[in-house]
Amino acid sequence: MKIVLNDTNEELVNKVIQYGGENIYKCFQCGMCASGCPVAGDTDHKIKRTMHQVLLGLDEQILDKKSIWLCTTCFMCLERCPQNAGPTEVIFALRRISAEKGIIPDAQIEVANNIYHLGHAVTVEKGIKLRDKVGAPVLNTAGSDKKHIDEIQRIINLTKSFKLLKIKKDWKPKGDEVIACD
Amino acid sequence: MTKSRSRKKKKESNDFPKIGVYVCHCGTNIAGSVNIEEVVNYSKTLSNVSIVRDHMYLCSEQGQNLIKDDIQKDGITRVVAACCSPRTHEEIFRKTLNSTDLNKYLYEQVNIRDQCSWPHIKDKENATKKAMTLVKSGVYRAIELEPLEDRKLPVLKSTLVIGGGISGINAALDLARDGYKVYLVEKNPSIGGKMAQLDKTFPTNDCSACILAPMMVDISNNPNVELLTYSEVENVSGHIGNYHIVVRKKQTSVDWNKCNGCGDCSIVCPVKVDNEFNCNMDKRKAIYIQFQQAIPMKAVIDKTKCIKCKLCEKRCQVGAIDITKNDDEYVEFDVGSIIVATGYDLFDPNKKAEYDYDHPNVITSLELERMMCASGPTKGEILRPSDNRTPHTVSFIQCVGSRDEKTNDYCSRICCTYSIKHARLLKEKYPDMDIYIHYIDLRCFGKGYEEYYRMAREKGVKFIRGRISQVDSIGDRLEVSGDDDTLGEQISVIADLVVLAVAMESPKDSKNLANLLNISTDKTGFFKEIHPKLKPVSTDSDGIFIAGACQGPKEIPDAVSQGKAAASAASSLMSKGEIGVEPLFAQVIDEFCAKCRTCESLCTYKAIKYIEDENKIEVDIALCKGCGVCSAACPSSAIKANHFTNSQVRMQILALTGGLK
Repeated sequence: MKIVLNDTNEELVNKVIQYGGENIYKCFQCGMCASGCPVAGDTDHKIKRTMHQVLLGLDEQILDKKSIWLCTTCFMCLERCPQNAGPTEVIFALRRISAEKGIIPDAQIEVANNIYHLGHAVTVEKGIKLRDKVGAPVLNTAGSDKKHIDEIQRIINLTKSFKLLKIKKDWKPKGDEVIACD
Repeated sequence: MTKSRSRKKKKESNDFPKIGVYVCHCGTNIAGSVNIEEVVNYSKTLSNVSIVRDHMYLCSEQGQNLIKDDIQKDGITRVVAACCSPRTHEEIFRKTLNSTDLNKYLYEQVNIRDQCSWPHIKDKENATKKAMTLVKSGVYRAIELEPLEDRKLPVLKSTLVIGGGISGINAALDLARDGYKVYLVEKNPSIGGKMAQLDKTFPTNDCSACILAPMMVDISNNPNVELLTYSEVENVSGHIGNYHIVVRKKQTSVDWNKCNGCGDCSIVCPVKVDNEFNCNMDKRKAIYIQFQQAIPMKAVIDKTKCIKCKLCEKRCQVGAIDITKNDDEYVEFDVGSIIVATGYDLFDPNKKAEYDYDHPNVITSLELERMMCASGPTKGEILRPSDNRTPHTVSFIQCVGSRDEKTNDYCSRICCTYSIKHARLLKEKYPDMDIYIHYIDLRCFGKGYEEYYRMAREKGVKFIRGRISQVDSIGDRLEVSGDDDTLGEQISVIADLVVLAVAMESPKDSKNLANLLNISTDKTGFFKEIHPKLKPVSTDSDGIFIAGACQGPKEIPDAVSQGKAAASAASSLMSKGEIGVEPLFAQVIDEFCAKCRTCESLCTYKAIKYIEDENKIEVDIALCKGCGVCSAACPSSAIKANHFTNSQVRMQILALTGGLK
């Protein structure tokens, strides 16, 4: 559908700059970022287009979509960008803005709650049980001691992320059903 | 085979030529599609050829020394080089011959690159055959070559500069400072050209008038410059070193010796007409001074608009005005060289109907420039013409009349950077303005231009890649419809003001000037340089140089460079006071001549005249260009075109039609 550029969000660029993407204006869409991106080939995450959309204030096209969450944050684009426009920083900024609006994919909520309650992004319940069964020594990880988990929870409770990442006190881990972007 | 003959003394060697053939590889330019070895072996079989050599780069010092050694040690008396174009390299090899005892006109160049290896790059077998045939024709012609001596022509130390824009001003100033007399002819009442209409100039954003006006003042103060404004070149005759010029000074009806530029006359004048200097966005009077910094600061009566009320005449306190004066004046003078710097015109946006230039809020970039200028029609305020309100959304459409097979297929080179300039200046003045630049490629190639572009992005100017298909009016506003290449989507902008970046075109009357001066134009109408890289300001008429945008679209730094380059070229021509010219002119053999005067009527250059008193046909060798028309037409072969004699041409034809034997 035809996009009318007048009706766009003029504040988006400023917000991205405020949230860490301060060099976005340097971008003139040469495509270096997109050409080396490891996920662009298989997903809808097109970083060059995202940069341009930010500059035009097309927030609806970015914030409602999953694509900014598909970035693996490998920093390849940031490393190679000839204009030092910091594409990865822009993605981070967009995720912050998005989370603030309450737009955050379930998978990310899952990961955040795993960290909050278990000290891990990915659950290792099955592994712990297996080790116990075969008499292997107990794993010594961030999640293996209640002390560590209390520390993690204290940090998260003090920051905005508790609210932004939708941490639930009564949350139950999904177990070993694979965590990935859906 | 001609050993015994070659031992003879140099003078006699003309009768028994001993030819050296030199085949150049030109790296792989020739060797890539011509079998050099076959050409060498074949050349050895040709009559009168005694030495055949090949070389990777014949024009190198080493290659030239090969030729020199053969002349000096082996007594070669004719040189045939099979290599590139004589346009660029004939002079080089003639100099090689000149450094020996051999006359430089005993040299023949065969172009087996531009006319053989390049066009036949995919057919080596036939390219090789063609190269052999071409070498054969060169050898046959070389047999008939005759030694010639350069003629010397006196060169006047004065120059005509046509066009008083930034390029012409620079050329005129450089020459005048070096002591040459300069006649600067400008068709408008004031010098300054298009640059005088600009507000600020990229990439430094310095005020155009502030950097231009002092140079204009320099021109008017320099005693070596004779300023002829409101004038046009009417006729040019003569030749390099001595041109006779007729200039028509259009009637101003104002005695410029008396006029003090006070401007009272235009205040009382009741006739209002469109002001061309402000792109017709406001009015001037029928008697007017072109602009505030005009040089000369003199009034002119627009004869087509004057109603002869005589109010100005009565008002003028110095009695400078006489409206009964109607006739143009003619000025004649002689110069040694000519510099053409006639600049450019802007593309007429009406030719791109899809951009709706009829709408008051669709303007050209020069119109915006005049608006931005503090001395312009809006005193520097940006107001949309429909209601004189400051626009909120402005769209710039690039390449209007450029890179377009339907109008001009070339790139106008300056529009990208000037639109960026406009956008930046607007953002500085009106930070909240929403500005879009719709481009196909951004070509900001000059020194400091990339940084200039980056600063525009940092100011929030939005750059959209994709050509705009149309502009539709929605009342006062305009819908600009296009495509965004990066988004891969159709887009539109509802704009208050649309600015068209119109192309640079050659001035409409440049064809006439080209005819008058006998110089060429290219397919776009711009004047053609002799070589785009090595002779950028020379034309095919010796002694006439081109500078600035009349040669092709150019920004100010390039126009200035070319003005200075043309001045330097003219100066090096004039400094010695004389010049050696190729003796390629026609000669009448009186005893054969029947005085039929066929030649006289055919000569384009008016170089042939019948002298009644002596019953003789005479060739003015200064005017003759050696084209050979007279020689070809003469029924009794009584005119010989030097270096292209009938026997020389006949031998070439014989070689070319006789097959590879």
